Amino acid sequence: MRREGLAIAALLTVSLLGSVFLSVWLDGRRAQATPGQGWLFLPDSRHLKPVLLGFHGVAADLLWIQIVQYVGTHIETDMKFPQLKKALELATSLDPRFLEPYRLGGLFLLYLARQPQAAVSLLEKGAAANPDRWELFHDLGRYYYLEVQDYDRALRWWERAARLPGRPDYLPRFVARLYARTGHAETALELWSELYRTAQNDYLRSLAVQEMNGLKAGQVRAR
Amino acid sequence: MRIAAIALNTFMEAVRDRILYAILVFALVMLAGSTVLVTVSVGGEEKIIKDMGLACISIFGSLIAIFLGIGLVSKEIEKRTVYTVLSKPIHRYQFALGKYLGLVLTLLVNVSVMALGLIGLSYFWEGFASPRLLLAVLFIFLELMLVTALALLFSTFSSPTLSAIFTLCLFVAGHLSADLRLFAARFGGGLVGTAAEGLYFLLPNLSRLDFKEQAVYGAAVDPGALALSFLYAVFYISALVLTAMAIFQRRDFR
Repeated sequence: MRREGLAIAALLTVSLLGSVFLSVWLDGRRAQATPGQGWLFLPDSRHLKPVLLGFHGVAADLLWIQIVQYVGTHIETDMKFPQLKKALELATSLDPRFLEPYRLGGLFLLYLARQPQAAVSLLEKGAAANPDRWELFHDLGRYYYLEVQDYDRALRWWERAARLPGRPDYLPRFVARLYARTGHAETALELWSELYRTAQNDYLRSLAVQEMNGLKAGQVRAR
Repeated sequence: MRIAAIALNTFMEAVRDRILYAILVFALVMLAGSTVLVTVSVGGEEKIIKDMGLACISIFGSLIAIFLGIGLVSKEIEKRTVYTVLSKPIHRYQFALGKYLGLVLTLLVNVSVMALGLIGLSYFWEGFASPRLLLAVLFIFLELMLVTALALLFSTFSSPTLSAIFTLCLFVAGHLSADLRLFAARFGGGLVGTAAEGLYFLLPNLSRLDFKEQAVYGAAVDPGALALSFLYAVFYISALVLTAMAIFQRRDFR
Protein backbone atom coordinates (compact mmCIF):
# COMPACT_ATOMS: atom_id res chain seq x y z
CA MET A 1 0.00 0.00 0.00
CA ARG A 2 2.79 2.33 1.07
CA ARG A 3 4.86 1.33 -1.99
CA GLU A 4 1.92 2.10 -4.28
CA GLY A 5 1.51 5.52 -2.68
CA LEU A 6 5.19 6.31 -3.20
CA ALA A 7 5.03 5.16 -6.81
CA ILE A 8 2.02 7.40 -7.49
CA ALA A 9 3.75 10.37 -5.83
CA ALA A 10 6.90 9.78 -7.90
CA LEU A 11 4.93 9.48 -11.15
CA LEU A 12 2.95 12.60 -10.28
CA THR A 13 6.15 14.56 -9.67
CA VAL A 14 7.66 13.35 -12.95
CA SER A 15 4.47 14.19 -14.86
CA LEU A 16 4.20 17.69 -13.40
CA LEU A 17 7.89 18.50 -13.92
CA GLY A 18 7.72 17.01 -17.42
CA SER A 19 4.75 19.17 -18.40
CA VAL A 20 6.44 22.34 -17.08
CA PHE A 21 9.71 21.46 -18.88
CA LEU A 22 7.88 20.74 -22.17
CA SER A 23 5.88 23.94 -21.85
CA VAL A 24 9.03 26.05 -21.45
CA TRP A 25 10.72 24.20 -24.33
CA LEU A 26 7.72 24.70 -26.66
CA ASP A 27 7.45 28.40 -25.78
CA GLY A 28 11.12 28.83 -26.65
CA ARG A 29 10.71 27.07 -30.00
CA ARG A 30 7.61 29.09 -30.87
CA ALA A 31 9.32 32.38 -30.01
CA GLN A 32 12.30 31.43 -32.22
CA ALA A 33 10.12 30.41 -35.14
CA THR A 34 7.79 33.42 -35.14
CA PRO A 35 9.15 36.38 -33.20
CA GLY A 36 6.31 38.74 -32.21
CA GLN A 37 3.80 37.05 -34.46
CA GLY A 38 0.41 38.70 -34.70
CA TRP A 39 -2.79 37.13 -35.94
CA LEU A 40 -2.88 34.34 -38.48
CA PHE A 41 -6.33 35.39 -39.64
CA LEU A 42 -8.42 38.47 -39.06
CA PRO A 43 -11.96 37.88 -40.31
CA ASP A 44 -14.22 40.42 -41.95
CA SER A 45 -16.37 42.20 -39.35
CA ARG A 46 -19.51 41.68 -41.50
CA HIS A 47 -19.09 37.94 -41.06
CA LEU A 48 -17.78 37.99 -37.51
CA LYS A 49 -20.35 40.32 -35.93
CA PRO A 50 -23.43 38.07 -36.30
CA VAL A 51 -21.54 35.07 -34.91
CA LEU A 52 -20.73 36.99 -31.73
CA LEU A 53 -24.42 36.86 -30.66
CA GLY A 54 -24.53 40.42 -29.35
CA PHE A 55 -21.17 40.26 -27.57
CA HIS A 56 -19.35 42.33 -30.20
CA GLY A 57 -18.50 44.97 -27.55
CA VAL A 58 -16.53 42.42 -25.53
CA ALA A 59 -14.90 41.09 -28.70
CA ALA A 60 -13.77 44.63 -29.58
CA ASP A 61 -12.36 45.06 -26.05
CA LEU A 62 -10.41 41.81 -26.24
CA LEU A 63 -9.13 42.64 -29.72
CA TRP A 64 -8.07 46.12 -28.54
CA ILE A 65 -6.09 44.56 -25.67
CA GLN A 66 -4.47 42.22 -28.23
CA ILE A 67 -3.64 45.21 -30.46
CA VAL A 68 -1.92 46.95 -27.56
CA GLN A 69 0.13 43.78 -26.91
CA TYR A 70 0.88 43.46 -30.65
CA VAL A 71 2.14 47.04 -30.83
CA GLY A 72 4.20 46.57 -27.68
CA THR A 73 5.78 43.36 -28.97
CA HIS A 74 6.71 44.89 -32.34
CA ILE A 75 8.12 48.02 -30.71
CA GLU A 76 10.48 45.73 -28.83
CA THR A 77 11.37 43.62 -31.88
CA ASP A 78 11.21 44.80 -35.51
CA MET A 79 9.12 48.01 -35.46
CA LYS A 80 7.00 46.56 -38.26
CA PHE A 81 3.22 46.56 -37.93
CA PRO A 82 1.81 44.78 -41.00
CA GLN A 83 -1.52 43.79 -39.38
CA LEU A 84 -2.16 46.90 -37.33
CA LYS A 85 -4.41 48.66 -39.85
CA LYS A 86 -6.62 45.62 -40.42
CA ALA A 87 -6.85 44.82 -36.72
CA LEU A 88 -7.87 48.41 -35.93
CA GLU A 89 -10.43 48.36 -38.71
CA LEU A 90 -11.90 45.16 -37.29
CA ALA A 91 -11.99 46.48 -33.70
CA THR A 92 -13.67 49.73 -34.78
CA SER A 93 -16.19 47.88 -36.96
CA LEU A 94 -17.09 45.54 -34.11
CA ASP A 95 -17.74 48.47 -31.78
CA PRO A 96 -17.93 51.75 -33.71
CA ARG A 97 -18.45 53.77 -30.51
CA PHE A 98 -15.25 52.57 -28.80
CA LEU A 99 -13.00 55.67 -29.04
CA GLU A 100 -9.62 54.31 -27.96
CA PRO A 101 -8.94 52.22 -31.08
CA TYR A 102 -9.54 55.33 -33.21
CA ARG A 103 -7.60 57.78 -31.05
CA LEU A 104 -4.67 55.68 -29.87
CA GLY A 105 -4.79 53.43 -32.94
CA GLY A 106 -4.54 56.56 -35.07
CA LEU A 107 -1.42 57.59 -33.17
CA PHE A 108 0.06 54.07 -33.53
CA LEU A 109 -0.55 54.16 -37.29
CA LEU A 110 0.82 57.66 -37.65
CA TYR A 111 3.93 57.59 -35.51
CA LEU A 112 4.84 53.90 -35.32
CA ALA A 113 3.59 52.28 -38.52
CA ARG A 114 4.15 55.50 -40.53
CA GLN A 115 0.83 55.13 -42.33
CA PRO A 116 -0.63 58.65 -42.18
CA GLN A 117 -3.33 57.96 -44.76
CA ALA A 118 -4.56 54.95 -42.80
CA ALA A 119 -4.53 57.02 -39.60
CA VAL A 120 -6.64 59.77 -41.20
CA SER A 121 -9.06 57.22 -42.68
CA LEU A 122 -9.45 55.61 -39.25
CA LEU A 123 -10.10 58.94 -37.55
CA GLU A 124 -12.55 60.00 -40.27
CA LYS A 125 -14.37 56.69 -39.87
CA GLY A 126 -14.57 57.35 -36.11
CA ALA A 127 -15.80 60.91 -36.62
CA ALA A 128 -18.52 59.68 -38.98
CA ALA A 129 -19.61 57.00 -36.49
CA ASN A 130 -19.48 59.35 -33.48
CA PRO A 131 -20.64 62.78 -34.64
CA ASP A 132 -21.44 63.72 -31.03
CA ARG A 133 -17.86 63.21 -29.72
CA TRP A 134 -15.40 66.11 -29.96
CA GLU A 135 -12.32 63.92 -29.48
CA LEU A 136 -12.08 62.55 -33.01
CA PHE A 137 -12.65 65.93 -34.71
CA HIS A 138 -10.02 67.33 -32.38
CA ASP A 139 -7.52 64.61 -33.33
CA LEU A 140 -8.13 65.18 -37.04
CA GLY A 141 -7.54 68.92 -36.54
CA ARG A 142 -4.35 68.15 -34.64
CA TYR A 143 -3.14 65.92 -37.47
CA TYR A 144 -3.68 68.58 -40.15
CA TYR A 145 -2.18 71.27 -37.92
CA LEU A 146 0.92 69.46 -36.75
CA GLU A 147 1.71 66.95 -39.48
CA VAL A 148 0.55 68.58 -42.71
CA GLN A 149 0.45 72.25 -41.64
CA ASP A 150 -2.82 72.52 -43.56
CA TYR A 151 -4.38 75.19 -41.33
CA ASP A 152 -7.59 75.50 -43.32
CA ARG A 153 -8.39 71.82 -42.81
CA ALA A 154 -7.25 71.90 -39.19
CA LEU A 155 -9.57 74.84 -38.68
CA ARG A 156 -12.48 73.01 -40.25
CA TRP A 157 -12.10 70.00 -37.90
CA TRP A 158 -11.43 72.05 -34.77
CA GLU A 159 -14.40 74.26 -35.49
CA ARG A 160 -16.62 71.19 -35.51
CA ALA A 161 -14.98 69.88 -32.34
CA ALA A 162 -15.43 73.25 -30.58
CA ARG A 163 -19.20 73.08 -31.13
CA LEU A 164 -19.57 69.72 -29.37
CA PRO A 165 -20.36 69.20 -25.68
CA GLY A 166 -17.54 68.33 -23.32
CA ARG A 167 -14.80 69.86 -25.51
CA PRO A 168 -11.78 71.29 -23.69
CA ASP A 169 -11.69 75.02 -22.95
CA TYR A 170 -8.67 75.65 -25.14
CA LEU A 171 -10.43 74.58 -28.36
CA PRO A 172 -12.30 77.85 -29.03
CA ARG A 173 -8.97 79.66 -28.43
CA PHE A 174 -7.28 77.46 -31.01
CA VAL A 175 -10.05 78.14 -33.49
CA ALA A 176 -9.85 81.91 -32.98
CA ARG A 177 -6.08 81.88 -33.36
CA LEU A 178 -6.27 79.79 -36.49
CA TYR A 179 -8.78 82.17 -38.03
CA ALA A 180 -6.30 84.99 -37.42
CA ARG A 181 -3.46 82.92 -38.89
CA THR A 182 -5.40 81.98 -42.02
CA GLY A 183 -6.30 85.60 -42.73
CA HIS A 184 -9.81 85.68 -41.32
CA ALA A 185 -9.20 88.53 -38.88
CA GLU A 186 -12.87 89.57 -38.66
CA THR A 187 -14.01 86.05 -37.74
CA ALA A 188 -11.12 85.70 -35.32
CA LEU A 189 -12.12 88.95 -33.60
CA GLU A 190 -15.69 87.77 -33.35
CA LEU A 191 -14.59 84.47 -31.82
CA TRP A 192 -12.28 86.15 -29.30
CA SER A 193 -14.99 88.58 -28.21
CA GLU A 194 -17.38 85.63 -27.79
CA LEU A 195 -14.73 83.86 -25.74
CA TYR A 196 -14.27 87.01 -23.64
CA ARG A 197 -18.02 87.17 -23.03
CA THR A 198 -18.31 83.51 -21.96
CA ALA A 199 -14.95 83.21 -20.15
CA GLN A 200 -15.13 81.68 -16.69
CA ASN A 201 -11.89 83.16 -15.36
CA ASP A 202 -9.70 86.28 -15.50
CA TYR A 203 -6.85 84.54 -17.31
CA LEU A 204 -9.07 83.71 -20.29
CA ARG A 205 -10.56 87.20 -20.33
CA SER A 206 -7.15 88.89 -20.33
CA LEU A 207 -5.95 86.47 -23.02
CA ALA A 208 -8.97 87.35 -25.16
CA VAL A 209 -8.33 91.10 -24.69
CA GLN A 210 -4.66 90.64 -25.60
CA GLU A 211 -5.51 88.70 -28.75
CA MET A 212 -8.23 91.17 -29.77
CA ASN A 213 -5.82 94.09 -29.35
CA GLY A 214 -3.22 92.30 -31.46
CA LEU A 215 -5.76 91.60 -34.20
CA LYS A 216 -7.03 95.19 -34.20
CA ALA A 217 -3.48 96.52 -34.40
CA GLY A 218 -2.82 94.21 -37.33
CA GLN A 219 -5.96 95.45 -39.09
CA VAL A 220 -4.89 99.08 -38.60
CA ARG A 221 -1.42 98.31 -39.97
CA ALA A 222 -2.95 96.60 -42.97
CA ARG A 223 -4.98 99.70 -43.78
CA MET B 1 -50.34 29.12 -2.74
CA ARG B 2 -49.61 25.71 -4.27
CA ILE B 3 -47.66 27.35 -7.07
CA ALA B 4 -45.65 29.33 -4.49
CA ALA B 5 -44.90 26.13 -2.54
CA ILE B 6 -43.59 24.37 -5.67
CA ALA B 7 -41.62 27.47 -6.68
CA LEU B 8 -40.00 27.67 -3.27
CA ASN B 9 -39.22 23.97 -3.33
CA THR B 10 -37.66 24.29 -6.79
CA PHE B 11 -35.61 27.23 -5.54
CA MET B 12 -34.38 25.26 -2.52
CA GLU B 13 -33.55 22.32 -4.77
CA ALA B 14 -31.59 24.57 -7.15
CA VAL B 15 -29.76 26.21 -4.27
CA ARG B 16 -28.52 22.77 -3.22
CA ASP B 17 -27.22 22.09 -6.73
CA ARG B 18 -23.44 22.30 -6.86
CA ILE B 19 -23.41 23.29 -10.54
CA LEU B 20 -25.12 26.55 -9.58
CA TYR B 21 -22.32 27.49 -7.19
CA ALA B 22 -19.66 26.44 -9.68
CA ILE B 23 -21.14 28.72 -12.34
CA LEU B 24 -21.68 31.59 -9.90
CA VAL B 25 -18.16 31.41 -8.48
CA PHE B 26 -16.71 31.21 -11.99
CA ALA B 27 -18.78 34.26 -13.03
CA LEU B 28 -17.57 36.26 -10.04
CA VAL B 29 -13.96 35.23 -10.68
CA MET B 30 -14.33 36.32 -14.33
CA LEU B 31 -15.86 39.60 -13.18
CA ALA B 32 -12.95 40.24 -10.83
CA GLY B 33 -10.57 39.05 -13.56
CA SER B 34 -11.68 41.91 -15.78
CA THR B 35 -9.84 44.29 -13.42
CA VAL B 36 -6.64 42.37 -14.14
CA LEU B 37 -7.38 42.44 -17.86
CA VAL B 38 -7.69 46.23 -18.00
CA THR B 39 -4.20 46.63 -16.60
CA VAL B 40 -2.79 45.41 -19.93
CA SER B 41 -5.03 47.73 -21.93
CA VAL B 42 -4.39 51.36 -22.81
CA GLY B 43 -7.52 53.43 -22.23
CA GLY B 44 -11.15 52.35 -22.16
CA GLU B 45 -10.84 50.67 -18.75
CA GLU B 46 -14.36 51.59 -17.58
CA LYS B 47 -15.86 50.41 -20.86
CA ILE B 48 -14.02 47.09 -20.72
CA ILE B 49 -15.11 46.45 -17.13
CA LYS B 50 -18.77 47.18 -17.95
CA ASP B 51 -18.66 45.14 -21.16
CA MET B 52 -17.07 42.17 -19.43
CA GLY B 53 -19.39 42.40 -16.45
CA LEU B 54 -22.57 42.52 -18.51
CA ALA B 55 -21.29 39.70 -20.74
CA CYS B 56 -20.53 37.60 -17.64
CA ILE B 57 -24.05 38.12 -16.27
CA SER B 58 -25.56 37.26 -19.64
CA ILE B 59 -23.40 34.21 -20.44
CA PHE B 60 -23.33 32.62 -17.00
CA GLY B 61 -26.98 33.46 -16.39
CA SER B 62 -27.85 31.71 -19.66
CA LEU B 63 -25.80 28.68 -18.61
CA ILE B 64 -27.73 28.50 -15.33
CA ALA B 65 -31.05 29.00 -17.14
CA ILE B 66 -30.30 26.27 -19.67
CA PHE B 67 -28.63 23.67 -17.47
CA LEU B 68 -31.10 23.94 -14.61
CA GLY B 69 -34.08 24.64 -16.88
CA ILE B 70 -33.74 21.51 -19.01
CA GLY B 71 -34.20 19.27 -15.99
CA LEU B 72 -37.14 21.19 -14.53
CA VAL B 73 -39.83 18.73 -15.57
CA SER B 74 -37.99 15.90 -17.30
CA LYS B 75 -35.87 15.13 -14.24
CA GLU B 76 -39.03 14.87 -12.12
CA ILE B 77 -40.46 12.41 -14.63
CA GLU B 78 -37.22 10.46 -14.88
CA LYS B 79 -36.92 10.13 -11.09
CA ARG B 80 -40.68 9.46 -10.89
CA THR B 81 -41.10 12.11 -8.19
CA VAL B 82 -43.71 13.71 -10.42
CA TYR B 83 -46.14 10.89 -9.51
CA THR B 84 -45.90 11.71 -5.81
CA VAL B 85 -46.44 15.41 -6.40
CA LEU B 86 -49.28 15.01 -8.87
CA SER B 87 -51.07 12.51 -6.61
CA LYS B 88 -51.67 15.50 -4.29
CA PRO B 89 -54.52 17.92 -5.00
CA ILE B 90 -52.50 19.93 -7.46
CA HIS B 91 -53.06 20.67 -11.12
CA ARG B 92 -50.40 19.88 -13.67
CA TYR B 93 -50.32 23.48 -14.91
CA GLN B 94 -49.66 24.62 -11.33
CA PHE B 95 -46.74 22.22 -11.13
CA ALA B 96 -45.19 23.48 -14.40
CA LEU B 97 -45.73 27.13 -13.48
CA GLY B 98 -44.34 26.61 -9.98
CA LYS B 99 -41.23 24.93 -11.42
CA TYR B 100 -40.71 27.85 -13.81
CA LEU B 101 -41.14 30.50 -11.11
CA GLY B 102 -38.76 28.62 -8.80
CA LEU B 103 -36.00 28.74 -11.38
CA VAL B 104 -36.76 32.38 -12.13
CA LEU B 105 -36.31 33.10 -8.41
CA THR B 106 -32.98 31.24 -8.46
CA LEU B 107 -31.89 33.32 -11.46
CA LEU B 108 -33.00 36.51 -9.74
CA VAL B 109 -30.76 35.76 -6.76
CA ASN B 110 -27.81 34.86 -9.01
CA VAL B 111 -28.19 37.83 -11.31
CA SER B 112 -28.50 40.12 -8.27
CA VAL B 113 -25.24 38.78 -6.82
CA MET B 114 -23.43 39.25 -10.15
CA ALA B 115 -25.00 42.69 -10.69
CA LEU B 116 -23.86 43.79 -7.22
CA GLY B 117 -20.34 42.66 -8.12
CA LEU B 118 -20.45 44.64 -11.38
CA ILE B 119 -21.86 47.77 -9.74
CA GLY B 120 -19.17 47.56 -7.04
CA LEU B 121 -16.44 47.28 -9.69
CA SER B 122 -17.92 50.09 -11.74
CA TYR B 123 -18.11 52.29 -8.64
CA PHE B 124 -14.49 51.45 -7.79
CA TRP B 125 -13.26 52.49 -11.26
CA GLU B 126 -15.49 55.43 -12.07
CA GLY B 127 -16.52 56.70 -8.66
CA PHE B 128 -20.18 56.18 -9.54
CA ALA B 129 -22.44 53.51 -11.01
CA SER B 130 -24.71 54.50 -13.87
CA PRO B 131 -28.40 53.58 -13.43
CA ARG B 132 -28.28 52.44 -17.07
CA LEU B 133 -26.22 49.49 -15.87
CA LEU B 134 -29.20 48.34 -13.82
CA LEU B 135 -31.44 48.81 -16.83
CA ALA B 136 -29.16 46.60 -18.94
CA VAL B 137 -29.13 43.99 -16.15
CA LEU B 138 -32.94 44.09 -15.94
CA PHE B 139 -33.20 43.30 -19.64
CA ILE B 140 -30.57 40.56 -19.35
CA PHE B 141 -32.77 39.09 -16.62
CA LEU B 142 -35.78 39.24 -18.96
CA GLU B 143 -33.71 37.45 -21.60
CA LEU B 144 -32.82 34.78 -19.03
CA MET B 145 -36.51 34.42 -18.12
CA LEU B 146 -37.21 33.83 -21.80
CA VAL B 147 -34.43 31.25 -22.10
CA THR B 148 -35.76 29.51 -18.97
CA ALA B 149 -39.24 29.43 -20.52
CA LEU B 150 -37.73 27.83 -23.64
CA ALA B 151 -35.94 25.24 -21.51
CA LEU B 152 -39.14 24.52 -19.59
CA LEU B 153 -41.10 24.11 -22.83
CA PHE B 154 -38.64 21.55 -24.21
CA SER B 155 -38.34 19.90 -20.82
CA THR B 156 -42.05 19.06 -20.88
CA PHE B 157 -41.79 16.74 -23.88
CA SER B 158 -38.14 15.72 -24.41
CA SER B 159 -35.07 14.43 -22.63
CA PRO B 160 -32.63 16.81 -20.86
CA THR B 161 -29.98 16.33 -23.60
CA LEU B 162 -32.40 17.13 -26.40
CA SER B 163 -33.86 20.02 -24.40
CA ALA B 164 -30.36 21.47 -23.95
CA ILE B 165 -29.67 21.19 -27.69
CA PHE B 166 -33.03 22.75 -28.66
CA THR B 167 -32.70 25.58 -26.14
CA LEU B 168 -29.13 26.37 -27.17
CA CYS B 169 -30.16 26.37 -30.84
CA LEU B 170 -33.02 28.78 -30.17
CA PHE B 171 -30.76 30.94 -27.99
CA VAL B 172 -28.35 31.29 -30.93
CA ALA B 173 -31.20 31.75 -33.45
CA GLY B 174 -32.73 34.38 -31.17
CA HIS B 175 -29.58 36.46 -31.48
CA LEU B 176 -29.51 35.99 -35.25
CA SER B 177 -33.18 36.65 -36.00
CA ALA B 178 -32.48 40.21 -37.19
CA ASP B 179 -30.25 38.68 -39.89
CA LEU B 180 -33.09 36.35 -40.79
CA ARG B 181 -35.13 39.38 -41.81
CA LEU B 182 -32.27 40.62 -44.01
CA PHE B 183 -32.21 37.16 -45.54
CA ALA B 184 -35.97 37.36 -46.15
CA ALA B 185 -35.60 40.78 -47.76
CA ARG B 186 -32.94 39.44 -50.11
CA PHE B 187 -35.26 36.67 -51.29
CA GLY B 188 -38.17 39.07 -51.82
CA GLY B 189 -41.68 37.69 -51.61
CA GLY B 190 -40.84 34.13 -52.74
CA LEU B 191 -41.53 31.01 -50.73
CA VAL B 192 -38.12 31.10 -49.00
CA GLY B 193 -38.55 34.81 -48.28
CA THR B 194 -42.01 34.31 -46.78
CA ALA B 195 -40.78 31.34 -44.71
CA ALA B 196 -37.83 33.40 -43.44
CA GLU B 197 -40.15 36.31 -42.61
CA GLY B 198 -42.46 33.89 -40.76
CA LEU B 199 -39.54 32.44 -38.81
CA TYR B 200 -38.40 35.96 -37.94
CA PHE B 201 -41.68 36.59 -36.11
CA LEU B 202 -41.87 33.09 -34.64
CA LEU B 203 -38.36 32.91 -33.17
CA PRO B 204 -37.52 34.98 -30.12
CA ASN B 205 -35.71 38.20 -31.04
CA LEU B 206 -33.19 38.46 -28.23
CA SER B 207 -31.45 41.49 -29.74
CA ARG B 208 -34.56 43.49 -28.77
CA LEU B 209 -33.65 42.91 -25.13
CA ASP B 210 -30.05 44.05 -25.55
CA PHE B 211 -29.40 47.40 -23.87
CA LYS B 212 -25.75 46.70 -23.06
CA GLU B 213 -24.42 49.35 -25.44
CA GLN B 214 -26.56 52.09 -23.91
CA ALA B 215 -25.32 51.10 -20.45
CA VAL B 216 -21.67 51.02 -21.48
CA TYR B 217 -21.68 54.36 -23.33
CA GLY B 218 -24.30 56.09 -21.19
CA ALA B 219 -26.27 56.73 -24.37
CA ALA B 220 -29.85 57.96 -24.30
CA VAL B 221 -32.51 55.25 -24.16
CA ASP B 222 -35.79 55.69 -26.01
CA PRO B 223 -38.49 55.14 -23.32
CA GLY B 224 -40.95 53.97 -25.98
CA ALA B 225 -38.57 51.31 -27.28
CA LEU B 226 -37.82 50.31 -23.71
CA ALA B 227 -41.49 49.85 -22.83
CA LEU B 228 -42.22 47.96 -26.06
CA SER B 229 -39.21 45.67 -25.56
CA PHE B 230 -40.38 44.96 -22.02
CA LEU B 231 -43.88 44.12 -23.25
CA TYR B 232 -42.45 41.99 -26.07
CA ALA B 233 -40.54 39.92 -23.50
CA VAL B 234 -43.59 39.58 -21.23
CA PHE B 235 -45.83 38.45 -24.12
CA TYR B 236 -43.27 36.01 -25.52
CA ILE B 237 -42.49 34.49 -22.11
CA SER B 238 -46.23 34.14 -21.38
CA ALA B 239 -46.76 32.36 -24.71
CA LEU B 240 -43.90 29.92 -23.99
CA VAL B 241 -44.96 29.15 -20.43
CA LEU B 242 -48.61 28.70 -21.46
CA THR B 243 -47.55 26.30 -24.25
CA ALA B 244 -45.38 24.37 -21.79
CA MET B 245 -48.31 24.16 -19.38
CA ALA B 246 -50.66 22.95 -22.13
CA ILE B 247 -48.20 20.26 -23.25
CA PHE B 248 -47.58 19.10 -19.67
CA GLN B 249 -51.33 19.01 -19.07
CA ARG B 250 -51.78 16.48 -21.89
CA ARG B 251 -48.57 14.52 -21.35
CA ASP B 252 -48.89 10.78 -20.80
CA PHE B 253 -46.36 9.67 -18.14
CA ARG B 254 -46.50 5.96 -18.84
